[in-house]
Amino acid sequence: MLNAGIHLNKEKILELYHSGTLLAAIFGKLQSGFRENSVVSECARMHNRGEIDLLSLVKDPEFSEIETHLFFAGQYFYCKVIPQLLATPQAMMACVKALVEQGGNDLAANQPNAAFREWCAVDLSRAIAVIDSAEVGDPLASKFMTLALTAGDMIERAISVVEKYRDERRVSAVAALGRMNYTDLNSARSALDALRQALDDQADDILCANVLSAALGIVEKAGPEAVAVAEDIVKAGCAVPGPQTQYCCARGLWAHPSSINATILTSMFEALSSINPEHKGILEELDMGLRSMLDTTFSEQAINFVEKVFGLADGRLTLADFPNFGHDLITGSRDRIHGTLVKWMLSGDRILCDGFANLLRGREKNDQFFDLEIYGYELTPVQKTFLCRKAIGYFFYQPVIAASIIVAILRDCDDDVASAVSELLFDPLLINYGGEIRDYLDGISEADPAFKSVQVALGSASQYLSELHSIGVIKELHPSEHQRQIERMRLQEQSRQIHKQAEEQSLFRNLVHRSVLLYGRRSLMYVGLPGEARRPIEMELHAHSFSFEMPRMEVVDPDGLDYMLRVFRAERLSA
Amino acid sequence: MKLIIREFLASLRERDELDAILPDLLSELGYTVYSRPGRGTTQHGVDIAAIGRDDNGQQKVFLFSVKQGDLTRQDWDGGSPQALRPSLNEIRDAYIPTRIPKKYHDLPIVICLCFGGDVQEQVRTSLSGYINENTTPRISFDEWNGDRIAGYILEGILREAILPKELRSSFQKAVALVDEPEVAYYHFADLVAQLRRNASSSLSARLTAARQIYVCLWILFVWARDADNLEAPYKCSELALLNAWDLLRPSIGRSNNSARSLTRTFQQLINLHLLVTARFLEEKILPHVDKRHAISLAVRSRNALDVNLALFDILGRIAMAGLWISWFAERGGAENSGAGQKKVEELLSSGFKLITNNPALFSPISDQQAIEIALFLQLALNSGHVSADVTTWLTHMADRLDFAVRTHGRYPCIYTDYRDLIEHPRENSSAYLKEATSGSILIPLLASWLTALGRNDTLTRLEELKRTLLEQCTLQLWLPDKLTEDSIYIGGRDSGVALCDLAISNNDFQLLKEIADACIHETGFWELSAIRTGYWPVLLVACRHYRLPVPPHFWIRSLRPSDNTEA
Repeated sequence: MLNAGIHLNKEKILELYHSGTLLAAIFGKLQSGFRENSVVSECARMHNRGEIDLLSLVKDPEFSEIETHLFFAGQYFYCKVIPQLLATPQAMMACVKALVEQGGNDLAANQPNAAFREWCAVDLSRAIAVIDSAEVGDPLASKFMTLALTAGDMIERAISVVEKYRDERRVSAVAALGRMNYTDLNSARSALDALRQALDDQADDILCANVLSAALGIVEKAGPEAVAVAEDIVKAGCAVPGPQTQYCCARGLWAHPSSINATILTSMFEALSSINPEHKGILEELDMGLRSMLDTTFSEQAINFVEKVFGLADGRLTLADFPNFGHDLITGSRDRIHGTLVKWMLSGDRILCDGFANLLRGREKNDQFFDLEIYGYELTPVQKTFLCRKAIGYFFYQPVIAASIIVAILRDCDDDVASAVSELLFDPLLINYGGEIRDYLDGISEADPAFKSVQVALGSASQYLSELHSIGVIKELHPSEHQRQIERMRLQEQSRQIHKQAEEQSLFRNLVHRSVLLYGRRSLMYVGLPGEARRPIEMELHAHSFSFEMPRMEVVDPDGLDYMLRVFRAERLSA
Repeated sequence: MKLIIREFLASLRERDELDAILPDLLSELGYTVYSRPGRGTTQHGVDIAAIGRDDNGQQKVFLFSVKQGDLTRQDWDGGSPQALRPSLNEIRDAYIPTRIPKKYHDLPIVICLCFGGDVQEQVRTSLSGYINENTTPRISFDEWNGDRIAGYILEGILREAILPKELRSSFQKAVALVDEPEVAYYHFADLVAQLRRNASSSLSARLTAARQIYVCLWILFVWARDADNLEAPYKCSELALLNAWDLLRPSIGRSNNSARSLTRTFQQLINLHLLVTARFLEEKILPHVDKRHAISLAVRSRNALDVNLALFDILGRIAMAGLWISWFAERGGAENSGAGQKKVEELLSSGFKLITNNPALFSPISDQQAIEIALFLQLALNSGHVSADVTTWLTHMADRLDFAVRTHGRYPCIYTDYRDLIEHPRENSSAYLKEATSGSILIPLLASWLTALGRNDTLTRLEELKRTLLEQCTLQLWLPDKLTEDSIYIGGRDSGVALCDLAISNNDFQLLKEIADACIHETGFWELSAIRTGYWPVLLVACRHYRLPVPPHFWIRSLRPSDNTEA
């Protein structure tokens, strides 16, 4: 530790302060010392005695030059010390504002606001002073009005501000209403009434967004009795959704899931259905929100919404935009996965099918069979065959998955479908693959309704393979040594590029020390300990490998394979 | 060198294989061969008969009875019609009294026991006894075993004066590296080029060079056959054939002995080329054409390019084999034409099975593969059966071309180098597409056939593709010109005319008319020696071997409707 051995006592802090290096110490090399509770308390005492001025430090030009990775350690110190400080509201607000702004877009940038609210709560006269200043038009105070109002749960005062103003102060008060604690239903209803009133006479995007969040926040704290009132507010707020409203809708899905009922959800999804795919921030919130919905009774609505929004976005939105939703969808209940699979594949919608296939592709073990129970879906023969073709189109490179969907169909179909589907099992699946898919199919027992058709396909595959093997070696057809060399060089270059790209994309790239071992099978190095001591660290090297089965047609007829897969993916059921 | 030749002689498997080279060998040694091996005629034990001089300079009649490999007890007197002893008896009893030409009646006779290997010990006593018993003042016996024949080859046809050290070295490398066909071909090509160049002075020199090429090819073939890899001899036999034609060209129309001998040697080279082809196709390819993907996977490569290249190459070989047979049938009169026609149809059918079961043949990756496609279509024309298979093949090919271009897939490109092809398509960009498809001989060929087949729907798509994504592509065909004759058989590429900027349209026969007009206008094709003399397959071999487009003269008259229909 860099500051090991330096004791941050009063004298030292004073010395740093007078030498003009206290700021650098808090945000720099002595930052760990300033995280100590005793040091924080000592600093607060010194500030309150007037020996140092912690708030003015952030006015120093050096403050704006602090590097991001150093900033948050110092911010931590300020968040801890602020509630303990004696200061005028103006000075405190200025300091907190500077701290928040310096944090930039980082999620942790707003931490000083919480400290400010705590500071107000210590002495509510501070909160009142801030609100008073805001009401007389102080722009800085207006920005802190929400925090001041919530510090003391000043519901009445907030309602009054909402009713009185139509500017930023109204928005601040609306936001504050959403964050307060409601101990009785009446006060919650009053707050909701104020929100409704605000919407009625002013419907801009920012106000709508805040009203929406506030309403959901109020319902969450006031309980289900307040939901009915909130329904109207949400509906009205979502009527003409701007980006802010959409953002708050998306955020509300995960921030206030308990406040949402079917009516509210419908309004919110309606607002979100016109989302602009360029608005990545909203998409991120929506992703979290949809994921959250999957854990509720509204999971089906969430999935339906995804289908709808993809359709409306005209290809500009995919499941890749909702990684968290996708993750939970694919790792959730088996029934939900299977239901979504069948529904999306039958829809033939490229975005949905591709998205689903990609979700499975990203799995650690991505070629495990689906134990799909097809009986429950009441599919027509045409749908069954169609589902199999889609399974091949989208899961061709995960043949066990594709085969398992076909086997599921074979368990519940008539002879005509069985014949067509068994043929698909043979060609293209068994013609292309002979590894895990064969193990899977060989494992299907005689008692299984699919057994007979599977055996037909396996028989065709055996015949096919035996013909392949019967040809023996035809040296004349082999590529020349020259051609093989070119191919080897190309593969080496490709591997090198892939390795390089993987390394560049690795999360660990900048986090770990990198050593390249040219010889040996173990590494040994010494690391320094405090003092003179050094400790040996040994590391055994292990081999790691990855294998996948390459479909035969990639070599025999890549164009035909590409064409077939595209056809299987593109085709739709006629209405 | 002698070891190579001895090994070659010992490996000759068929009796007529040794027969095939001995006459030329004898001619080069100064013998006058008056009777050659023939099939179906009574030889009375004599395979080759020649007049020559013995070691003492005395002129004698030499009667050769030829057996393959070592002389075993079975070969000597095993009861088979091919056994040596009965053959010798027949020579003494029937041939000598009746078949020696009158003018040689007074000459002493040497009966030569000729075999590629050695006399096995257990036969030696019987053989010596037979010779002692039957030697007379007029008739003597001589043993020509593999070692002796090898010595004669080295002293005669491959003597150092005409096959110097560096050429022997090329030849030895070609034989030694027969399992590396590209390298073997490189050395063989070097040998052939030198022999041809060195022989330009006189007809007899050209004849000797042709015989040398022939014997060297035989040796290469036999070695390759033992190595179970006929790739080098196949390519080398095409090259040998073409170079031999170039040696033959100046003597076309001459009728002296040397000219006739040269023509005969060329015929032997055709036979040898077809022997190599037949052995490759009939033993290795044709039995497997109806097995799905079997030949594709026999390429044993992880790269689809290798499969694609190998398959189109095979298709070209099948086509050429069929076209040669068609040519033989055409020259052999009605007697041979029935069997020939049947064989041609079988090869055509095998070709279509190969296509059906190896779908890479629907997707040429190099525009140059239009050569193989044209050859196979020519086979279909020559068979007289342009079946639905042709339509299906070409329609699918056009569909795939359309699909591949639109998806920036593996569309046919102008590149021919393996490095370029393996990277193709290097980019998924229109700039690359433009570069890689800047010209095409494939599309006009397809369009011509689709026009003739009446596939207007496919033509419409092709036309639209050309108009939109392939707008920059120069559609062209190649026509030989007056300079082509002097270079095409030896690999020259700087001749001919590119008939370019051809337009595809589905509403008339304009494309075919334009091509037909150009074929009339450009007369170089008809002046080519291979065409003038009726040896048209030689030109097709040249196109295949040296990667030149098949001239449309071959097919345009068959595709273009009569003027009445057109009107």
